[in-house]
Amino acid sequence: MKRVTEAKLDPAALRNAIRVPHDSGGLVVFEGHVRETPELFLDHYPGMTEKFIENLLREATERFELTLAEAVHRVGSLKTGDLIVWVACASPHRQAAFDGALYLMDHLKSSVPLWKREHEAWLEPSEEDLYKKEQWHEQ
Amino acid sequence: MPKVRLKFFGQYREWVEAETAELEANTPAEALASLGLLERFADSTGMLAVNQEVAGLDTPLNDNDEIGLLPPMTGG
Repeated sequence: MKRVTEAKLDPAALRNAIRVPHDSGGLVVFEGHVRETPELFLDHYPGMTEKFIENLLREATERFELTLAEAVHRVGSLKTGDLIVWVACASPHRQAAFDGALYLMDHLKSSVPLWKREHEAWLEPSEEDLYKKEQWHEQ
Repeated sequence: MPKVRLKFFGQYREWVEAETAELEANTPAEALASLGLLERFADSTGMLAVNQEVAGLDTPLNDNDEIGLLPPMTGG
């Protein structure tokens, strides 16, 4: 699965592209959409961004014993309502699938080479995003 | 001295006119200093990579190495 793309993301096509292993009791799919904005641009580091996402998927799979972990991030110019990130996690029991998806999202926010520019200004990671990520490493 | 390439991302793109710079340097610190950006980078909370692996200001460089300058990340 392509991890980073400038192309519009189709959630139905992404869902159809995954095969959930038979020992999975739960599948959690998360869609992140662009909130109301006149213009959003996502910069990335080709090659390194994909590598960071792959590492993150491996970490989540090991930590939560997932049977499936996938993530795709959109880059380039986006508009209000566009799907910006898609995450799917499966596990034998539902809690791990929910935790895995949350872990992936909390790390995609501030630990993967992606940079948002909105209203002509580059964004800084929010205190809330940094706190949520740190919480996973204090447990 | 090794010939290397610097690549700037996100808000760091605005530090320079072009998104890449080619120069000679033994370390990322030397490369940034030659562009007058060492202090600015050290004062920021970003990170750097050499050939797409996380590295430090004093990481030894080789010919054709690529130094990526990565501001605080804001994906998701």
